[in-house]
Amino acid sequence: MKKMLPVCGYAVSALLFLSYVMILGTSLFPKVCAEYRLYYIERELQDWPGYGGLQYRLGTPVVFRSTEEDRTRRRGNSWNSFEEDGCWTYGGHSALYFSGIFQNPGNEDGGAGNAGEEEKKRYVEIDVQEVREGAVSQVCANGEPIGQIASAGTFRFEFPQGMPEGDILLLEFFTDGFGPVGEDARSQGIKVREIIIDDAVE
Amino acid sequence: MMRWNNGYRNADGWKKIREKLEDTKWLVCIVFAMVAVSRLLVYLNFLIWSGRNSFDGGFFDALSIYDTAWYKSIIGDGYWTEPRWGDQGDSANWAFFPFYPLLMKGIHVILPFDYDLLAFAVNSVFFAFALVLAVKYILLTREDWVHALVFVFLMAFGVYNFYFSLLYTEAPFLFFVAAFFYCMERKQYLWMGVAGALASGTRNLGIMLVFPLAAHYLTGYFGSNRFRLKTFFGNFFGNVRLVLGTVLIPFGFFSYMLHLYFRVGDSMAFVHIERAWGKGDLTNPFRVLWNSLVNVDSFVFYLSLWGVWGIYCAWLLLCSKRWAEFVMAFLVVMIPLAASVIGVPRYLIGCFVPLLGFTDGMGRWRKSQIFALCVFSFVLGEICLWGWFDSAAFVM
Repeated sequence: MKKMLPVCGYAVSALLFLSYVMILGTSLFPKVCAEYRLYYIERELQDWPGYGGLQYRLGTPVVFRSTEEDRTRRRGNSWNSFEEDGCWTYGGHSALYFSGIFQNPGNEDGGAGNAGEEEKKRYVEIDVQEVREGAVSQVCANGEPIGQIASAGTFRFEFPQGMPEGDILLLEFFTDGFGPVGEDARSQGIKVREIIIDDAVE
Repeated sequence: MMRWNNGYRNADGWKKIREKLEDTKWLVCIVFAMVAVSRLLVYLNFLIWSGRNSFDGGFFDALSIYDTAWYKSIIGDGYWTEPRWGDQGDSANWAFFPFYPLLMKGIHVILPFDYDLLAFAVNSVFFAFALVLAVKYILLTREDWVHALVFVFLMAFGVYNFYFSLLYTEAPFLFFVAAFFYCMERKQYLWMGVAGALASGTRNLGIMLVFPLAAHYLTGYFGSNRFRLKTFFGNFFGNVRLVLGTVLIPFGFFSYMLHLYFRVGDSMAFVHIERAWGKGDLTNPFRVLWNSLVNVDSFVFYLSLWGVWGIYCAWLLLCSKRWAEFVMAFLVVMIPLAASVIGVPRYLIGCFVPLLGFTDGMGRWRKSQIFALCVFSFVLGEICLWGWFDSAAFVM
């Protein structure tokens, strides 16, 4: 019996040590939603959207005006604060995150492109309130360039066929010529007012 | 060796106190009496403060602020599955470790009193027993009862003493850390492991207790051996109690990680949720300290002075070659500082070893200097208590 006690002690120690290693292993593979991962772990999101808060229903306006209560919580870190007429990008790279666009069945009845077998072309419409003088912003969807913005106005860019589809649609603005606007010393590029993603039927 | 002033250490009146301190029954009575008086002072302060400020609420309304709501949420609802509180709704109770709320929940089943009242009583008992262990540890390692007495006075009546009766983890953590060092010094490694496991289940800093144990083993080994790989590992692995005690220390920490994995899906949620409190990734603690020190107009300057004090305490332990205590004191200063200076004073006071280093340094002080320090700490403690009642940021 006396000899068994040390053996049990070593066995329990080994078991505990192994379980610690396994628990540490779980920290490398968290089972969390995209919102949690982007906000808490990768710290890519500026605002907490809530669980499922990045889900997007085609045709829903993404609002950037401070006067609206349902202004977007999809912004990555490089955006200035909301203003009454929109939101300035900050620095040379600003991003927006959408989830459920490629695989959410709920989007079948969300936009214009739900009519049977007709060919659908997905597009993003960007309402730009203002562009800093000399600034040009390249728009990319999941890393693929889809268009360019160099002036105020409404721009419609189609998503290319064969664009990489994942859980997340990452809409990025790569801006050259960003800097202060007038007496406002913040780093600014383009001022976005509203964005809509939808399907167009050909 | 300590150089306390023998002139008063050996006076007849003090000798009687020494004898009482060495008798555990008397020691418990003395320490409990000191804690009871200090708790009474907290209440008297409340009466004066509430009278002056026409405060309508009760004692616990003034006392139970800041993080107490988080602990109540865990005791009441357990850990949430998603964030609920905060301006953005991005805060969750995952940042707070489970052992203490679990214990309170268990006690609440038996004694269904108000959480604040229960916490005040339970934590005061934890605090008193922590001080009893502290005295025993000081007598064991320093053989100096004046040192022990000054330590107990500074803890019971000194700055931030009120934290040890709040619905916070300060009192149980202090108790577990003191028990850990006491058992480690007496080579009761299984009990040491249990104390370490409970500490690591109470606060994330608890897992750091493996490092003072490593220092304790290394000093023990190199004190009597020349380095040989065989004896270095053989001495450790040959002692089953030491092996099991060591492996037990992170048990509380990893159990909580596993719970979070099943509850939230992220075993590191207790770290990641810190974003909701505006805390960034860990950075250079000296830079954080310097940035706060130069910010003299802000309350962070006051907090940064505590950071400097913590480094000074660790330095004193290093100088006196108390390696295990030094390692813990160093970690307990550097890890919180790597995130922010907020909360540094209570982390230092509530972790046993920094104040131990400081009272070590007082061995060279004159009686009048020690008396002045005790008065200063008492007055600062009263100011902090009033600051707490006023919900002032500097006492967070």
